Amino acid sequence: MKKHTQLSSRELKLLSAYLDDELSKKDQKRVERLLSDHPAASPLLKKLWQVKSALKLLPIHKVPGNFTITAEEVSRSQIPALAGVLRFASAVSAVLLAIVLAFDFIFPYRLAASEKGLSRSGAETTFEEKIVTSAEEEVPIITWQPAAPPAGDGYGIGGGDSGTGNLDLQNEMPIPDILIAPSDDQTGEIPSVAQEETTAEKEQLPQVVEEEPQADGEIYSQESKSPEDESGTILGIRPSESQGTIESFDEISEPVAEVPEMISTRLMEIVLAGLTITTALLAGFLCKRKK
Amino acid sequence: MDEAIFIRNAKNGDVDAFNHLVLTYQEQVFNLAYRMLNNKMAAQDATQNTFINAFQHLKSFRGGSFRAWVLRIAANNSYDELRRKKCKPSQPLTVLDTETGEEMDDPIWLEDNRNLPEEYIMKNELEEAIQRCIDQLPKNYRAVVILVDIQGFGYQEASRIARSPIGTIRSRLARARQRIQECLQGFQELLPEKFRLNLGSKL
Repeated sequence: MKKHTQLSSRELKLLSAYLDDELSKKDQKRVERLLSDHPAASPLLKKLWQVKSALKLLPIHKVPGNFTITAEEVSRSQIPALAGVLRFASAVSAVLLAIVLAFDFIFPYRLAASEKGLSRSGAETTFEEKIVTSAEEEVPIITWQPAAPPAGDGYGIGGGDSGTGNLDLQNEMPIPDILIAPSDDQTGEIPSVAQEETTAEKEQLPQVVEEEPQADGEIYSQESKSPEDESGTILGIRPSESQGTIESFDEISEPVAEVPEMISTRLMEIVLAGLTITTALLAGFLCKRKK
Repeated sequence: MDEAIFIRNAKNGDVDAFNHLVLTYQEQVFNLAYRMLNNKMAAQDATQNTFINAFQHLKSFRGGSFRAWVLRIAANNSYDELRRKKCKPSQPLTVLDTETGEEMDDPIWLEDNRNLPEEYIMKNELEEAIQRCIDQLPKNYRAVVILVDIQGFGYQEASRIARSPIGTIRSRLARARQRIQECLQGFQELLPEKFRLNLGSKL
């Protein structure tokens, strides 16, 4: 005989099922053994039987009326299901709308920044393009026509006309900002080789040399060609006015990349708001109609 | 006519054929809902919804016990109603006892029973007491005890209705009976002599 008085939950289940005659032969024998061996088993079985008997006292109520259905009731009962779907759709679109609005509200600078970035890059692009365009244009050549060398020393063929030479500007271009004279000293002396050649030629050259512009002492731009002769022309750098300077930001067309983005965001907000309101109204209408 | 023919015709949209099935099972469905909800109006609504849902989803019925199938729908509708009731608890009608000053929250005590036989009164009070004990059970336990002990289903059919294994049904039933026994100890005087429980003994 078992010494403990408490029954396990498994024994409780066996006793309860024994009461309903829902046990296998093996489990029935086990319960019968438990009832003979365990002092608490028999009182518990009695209590369970009392509960079962008390529950059987509850009457079976007669139905207050027939629950037969009609086709109209069936179709009407489908309305709440549709209303439920509409309510769900309304809730989902409202949440999406809130997310879009919140994103638009919290990160407005992102759009502004992207807009600014686009403007700047657009300006830079325009500037570079203008430089290339200007560089491809014809470079004005400025010829320096020296006057007849005066008698005496210190009157070289260096830069400038030393107040006496004629400066011929081809293409009627203004004087460039930067002119580099062939001579780098105060006296206008030039390197010996060049000086000898130039001195020999000086005697042959007429006073005004227009037909053969010389290219000696030029500073060439990358696009300009090398001089074929050694006349004393100076290739000037294009004046700053005609270079690829930024003329005005007003002329740079505004970037249009953000416009579709703005439109799509606004369109999304409008569509979501419309969907939310429409589905909510429809759901409310259906519920009201059912009532 | 055979139940299978009614079911087949009802699947084809024949409402009259389905109503034959309704008349056959409406009492069991209503009593299950009534014991689950302990409210006549709510039970009527749940029963009506059960049959409408059953008709709408009849195509999903793959054979077997139609009674078990329709009672499962009734149990699910009752669970839904209980959930709604839990969310929106109704205010009970309460009065104060003139002698003790304590709140009396049982509407049945408000009835004037002076002209009714004593046996009837006792029976009503006993039913009310047992129903209160059932109401205190978890809903899964409640369904099992109603199906087996009140409606008299076997474990096999109860497991089909509750969609639970027989072992689970056995376990829930044993625990439900134990809890009801503990609950009914407070209503000893209402029980008939042969059903009075021994208060002294413990499990």
